[in-house]
Amino acid sequence: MASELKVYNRFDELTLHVRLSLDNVPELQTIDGTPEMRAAIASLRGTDFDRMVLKGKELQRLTANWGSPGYLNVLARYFVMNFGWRTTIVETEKPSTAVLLTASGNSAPPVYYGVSPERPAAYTMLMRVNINKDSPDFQPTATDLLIASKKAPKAASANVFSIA
Amino acid sequence: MDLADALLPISEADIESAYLAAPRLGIDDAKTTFSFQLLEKTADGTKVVCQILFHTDTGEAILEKELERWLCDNKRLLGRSGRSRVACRVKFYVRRNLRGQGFAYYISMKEEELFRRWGAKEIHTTAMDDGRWAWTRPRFGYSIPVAEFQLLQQRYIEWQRETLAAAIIKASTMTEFPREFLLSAVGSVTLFKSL
Repeated sequence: MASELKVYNRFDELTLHVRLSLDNVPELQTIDGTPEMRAAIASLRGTDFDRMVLKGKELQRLTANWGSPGYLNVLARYFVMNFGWRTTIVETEKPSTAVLLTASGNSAPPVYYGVSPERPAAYTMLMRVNINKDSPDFQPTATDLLIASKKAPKAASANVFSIA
Repeated sequence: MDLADALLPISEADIESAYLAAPRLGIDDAKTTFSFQLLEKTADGTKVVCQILFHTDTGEAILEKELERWLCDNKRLLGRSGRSRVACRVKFYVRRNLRGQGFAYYISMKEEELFRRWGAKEIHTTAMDDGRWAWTRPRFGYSIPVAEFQLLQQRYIEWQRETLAAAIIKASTMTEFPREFLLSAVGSVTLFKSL
């Protein structure tokens, strides 16, 4: 199973072309790219992707497990949202299973996640995020919310600090 | 696990004391409110969400939204490999008429001491809006993760071409990105600080 990602800059020039193979050990091969993009891909290799980006006025969290089938989709989305680049993805064998889940709620950054068919539990957990719309973040189960305490304004304090 | 366990070796009282504000800005500590949530088994491990609101003595809010911080006990580090305790600065919007008076710097330094005491190995934040310039200033001590810095280098080269710069310069450090570039060509900037 493999997929390829191409990234184009504002001048529609190809700046990155990578291929992700998922046969046994995930392999991200750079086929073409500028020195900066090649270096960036080399730095990303082997680590899960986890970034917050601005969508409208809300933060959106983009995450993907390293080498998961949806990894390139998340990476592409990050390039588009944060840098305004154009991307194309070609599935060379099987279609990607990446899904977009948008959790609503003021403080809840929606989660975009590359879901692996080998990790059905991850898919279940993410679906629950979508259901629990008041969650301030990803929660595997609604019952894991243990404490939500609001405090009344504090009593007047004698402590005084000056501005640094 | 309860909230007190998740906060060890600090306590709710330590957090509240860290956010006692600067009277010079007219902040009334008696009107400061705190909210804590404990979330277990998140993608970042056990997570404490702290939300704080500051007010003047006339009841006027100091921030546009509540200040929000996460204390995550198992989050991926950005400055090195592995996972550990990480403090995330999620929201901090000082009202425009109160900016530039030292409040952000004052709070940042106070809470950094708190994060260190809690055992955080890094502080993470995502700089947006004016923060793309403000939080990348050296005095706050942040760095950009290596891969993201290289992507910014690429974007900066394009931006110079778009703006018909006389010469194309490759930035070698975060501080070489000009204000105009950060505020116009990048949506947000991921930052971390090792403690």
